[in-house]
Amino acid sequence: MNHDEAHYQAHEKAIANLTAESYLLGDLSDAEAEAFEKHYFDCRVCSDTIRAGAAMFAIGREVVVDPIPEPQPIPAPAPVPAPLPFRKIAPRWMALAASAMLAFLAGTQSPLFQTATAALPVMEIAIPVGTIDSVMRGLEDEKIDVRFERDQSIEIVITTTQRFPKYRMVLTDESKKVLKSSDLTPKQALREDGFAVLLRALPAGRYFLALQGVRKDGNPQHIVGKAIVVQ
Amino acid sequence: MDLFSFDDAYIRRLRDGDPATVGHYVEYFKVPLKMKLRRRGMRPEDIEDVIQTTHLKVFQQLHSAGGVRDSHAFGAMVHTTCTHAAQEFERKRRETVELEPDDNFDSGDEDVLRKLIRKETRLRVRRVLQSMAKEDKRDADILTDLFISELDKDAICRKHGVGRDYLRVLVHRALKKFEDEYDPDDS
Repeated sequence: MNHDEAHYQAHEKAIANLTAESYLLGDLSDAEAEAFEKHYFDCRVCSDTIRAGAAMFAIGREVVVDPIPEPQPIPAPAPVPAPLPFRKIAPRWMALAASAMLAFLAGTQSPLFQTATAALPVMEIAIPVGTIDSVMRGLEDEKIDVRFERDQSIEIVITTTQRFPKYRMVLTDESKKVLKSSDLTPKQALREDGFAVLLRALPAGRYFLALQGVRKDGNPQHIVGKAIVVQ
Repeated sequence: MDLFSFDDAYIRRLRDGDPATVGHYVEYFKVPLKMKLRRRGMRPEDIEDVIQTTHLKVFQQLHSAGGVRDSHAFGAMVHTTCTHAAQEFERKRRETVELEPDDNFDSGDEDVLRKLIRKETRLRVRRVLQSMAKEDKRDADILTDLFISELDKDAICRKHGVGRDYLRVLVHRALKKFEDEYDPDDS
């Protein structure tokens, strides 16, 4: 069988098995993904599907997380937590994340966070983010645009196979000044359902939240990061 | 139906440096190479480096004595070149000691065309979600969950009482709608 025949056969198989969709969902093994990539890099139809899928997922996350705002009554300030808008989507998230959030917040209560939140109602919003090794993650690192009227929780799930003796969450400002840094144990960081960090209200500006793996020699290695734009 | 993205004429134009062809080549492989390298767990800033190295090696191969033997397998050649470039990059990275993290902000620079494409894509995604919600709200909910909770698909399946095969079919249907929603006037 020559290459062209093999290509057509591979295409028919890919269409029948919805391989492009599996690839976008990250359902293929490494070997299967490699084999499909070798096909679709040359395939006009499958490469179009992958491009469309990548765009749909990347923008879909943006659309869902940051929908067109609808007019809503202004909530009266209250010290009690408001309903969780994303609870329907991730019901188990809060309980699982609580300890990790506390770990991140403990010991680093900067005046910046405290003063900014003093007069604000507390609301916790789960904004799940992807990881760099997920093919569904999309084309670019999407920014989280935040109107920081309340605290923000960001959910993080680590799926990289590389393991570190320690993990570190680092929040930096636009000048790369570290505003906050907190270490996590592997047990905290590698929860199957992820963990979350709670960001207190921040002044308008651009920030970067990064999860690093800390190697034995003490040097950090970037795992996943998220740009945060506070408006 | 012609399934091949490349032919001999394309390879000739690419080798001769025809600007439109070179532009197409870069754009065509942008997403596939990024997705391939992300799957390997590479950092975004490293991905750009490896893609540049891949392009360099591909053009070296184009101008070498052997050139590209089978234009229909040009994509596979780029794939293999990228794999080797990534392996070489990872090997070098393992040998070096990183002194400090080099997290970067997104540049924020987005040209007008990309902004328009982005706006148009957002509209298409909204229409896909609206259309699916009209047909079956559960499907729209699943797709929404997939967009947000992309990493925990088993939990999504449990929550909605569906199997992984159903997710694949749902993504397939959503992609069809997404492609059908293309309207150049939107942008």
